[in-house]
Amino acid sequence: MIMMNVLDLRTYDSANKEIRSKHDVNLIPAVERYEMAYARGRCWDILQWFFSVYEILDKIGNPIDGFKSVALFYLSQQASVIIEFKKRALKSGLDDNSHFTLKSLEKQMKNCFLNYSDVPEIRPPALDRDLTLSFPNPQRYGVRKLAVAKPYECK
Amino acid sequence: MRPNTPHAVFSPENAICHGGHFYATSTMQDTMFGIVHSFVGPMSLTNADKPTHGIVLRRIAGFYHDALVQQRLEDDGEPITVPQFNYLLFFYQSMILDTCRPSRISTPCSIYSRSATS
Repeated sequence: MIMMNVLDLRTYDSANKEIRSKHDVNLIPAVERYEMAYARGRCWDILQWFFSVYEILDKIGNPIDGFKSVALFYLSQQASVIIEFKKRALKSGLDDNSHFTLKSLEKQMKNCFLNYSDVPEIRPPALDRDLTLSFPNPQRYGVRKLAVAKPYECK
Repeated sequence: MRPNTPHAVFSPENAICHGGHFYATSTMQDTMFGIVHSFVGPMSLTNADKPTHGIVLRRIAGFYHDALVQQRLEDDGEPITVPQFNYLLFFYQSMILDTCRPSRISTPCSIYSRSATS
């Protein structure tokens, strides 16, 4: 949901290529873009709420910063993988969308994380085995409900 | 068919096909995989461009936000019924396009005593 507009092909399309290159214009109606932005904000809010009510435990049972170490890290990984998938699809001819450029995809990905400076750098996976949307080593983590919910700031 | 199931449609002659989509919290992660695949290879897939799916998914996100974060009440004053914790985790995963199985995460439990199964 957070990346929903990134994964919408209309984001990279515009009736006028020159206008698109200079301004943030695409084929998604303005109202729907506002709806996407609002939904993205609500999803960030749910993530923050989750980590204010539950804590993530590492393999030996110590609490860790779940939002930063799990959610943001994982979002960054997924962004990297999606970009790499698309790069390979374009190279192999699986996709020949003439409007689409990897640069615009990377820009849209970064826009998703504008309010979060702790997001790890989005870079291509080093190994093919890392080229997956799967969560790395989920058995390393546990979840425990907090006795008292932590306050959180809604951005 | 579950979401993200590879399939093909054959017809003995030219045909107009009509179908629909159903979104369930328990299969939300597969839905998200399908969206990624549709994005990556739209020229090699049919049914790739479905702008309307976003509306439904945004409403589902809004439902969870209302129920969990804002803790809004139903018209009868009761808390909004939310799926069991396992399904919440499925939804949580879908928000960040996860594939992690809830069974691998410890202590699944319901958030509210009044909970549904789907």
